[in-house]
Amino acid sequence: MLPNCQEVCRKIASDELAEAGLWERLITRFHLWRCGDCSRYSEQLRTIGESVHQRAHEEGSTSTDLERLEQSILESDDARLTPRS
Amino acid sequence: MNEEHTSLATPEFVERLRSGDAEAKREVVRAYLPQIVRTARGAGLRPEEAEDVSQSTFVTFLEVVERFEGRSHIRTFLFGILYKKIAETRRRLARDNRADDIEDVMESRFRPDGRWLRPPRPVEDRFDDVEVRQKIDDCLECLPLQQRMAFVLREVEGLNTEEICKILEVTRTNFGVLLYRARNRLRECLESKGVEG
Repeated sequence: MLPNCQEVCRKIASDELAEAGLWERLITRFHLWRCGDCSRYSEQLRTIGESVHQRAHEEGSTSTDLERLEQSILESDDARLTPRS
Repeated sequence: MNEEHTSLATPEFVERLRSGDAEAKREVVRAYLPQIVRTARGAGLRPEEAEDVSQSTFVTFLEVVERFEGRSHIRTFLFGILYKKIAETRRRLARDNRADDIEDVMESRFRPDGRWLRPPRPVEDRFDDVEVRQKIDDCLECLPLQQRMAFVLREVEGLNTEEICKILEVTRTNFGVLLYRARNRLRECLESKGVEG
């Protein structure tokens, strides 16, 4: 039986399709090809994911911040391993 | 998207780490610190909170690494510690006391036969506008931690399902539910703010 819009949206949003069989992927693609609303829904989820990805990678900490933090972590570890006199 | 660092996954490297090799520790910190900080920020912590949690994650990792048996990837082990630290911090900051009503919202968008009743609105705004980006940040704040982590680990860090399930300690089915809720909550939130990507 062919999936309805609600079922297609659930499969897309839960990444269920990635592990689905060939037939299920084909009928879902066919549904998306025919259904403008589901196609728009799928496109919106993809755009949101890409935007969040891009933003997170652009605003990452500066190399100075990371070097300072790295140093601080390794110093904490050294302090833990150094016996107190 | 997914930063693998395959040389850090070898049994020889794990052994160096377990035996306390300082250079191996430095390599792990250098390799994964950017991802850890980015994920802590992605989980909704402010910059200074994200730094504290990242530092605490590595300090715990280095404390327990001698007992690490190498059954999972080092990154999976690290992200598992990070997830628990973020959960502790957010509990402390009491940011997760919101009811989850997204299933009802999604249900109300469809007719009983499963066809759209209120379909998504057409594309108008651009997602790279500064104002829209601020709205995305605001909407991310609405996600409960587990949904947000599932979304960030998948979309920002590009980890596979198996690894995310291990980090969050959920089944594949539960992970699907978390992603479904996170994405729909974000989409609904953005639509309510007038953004239709």
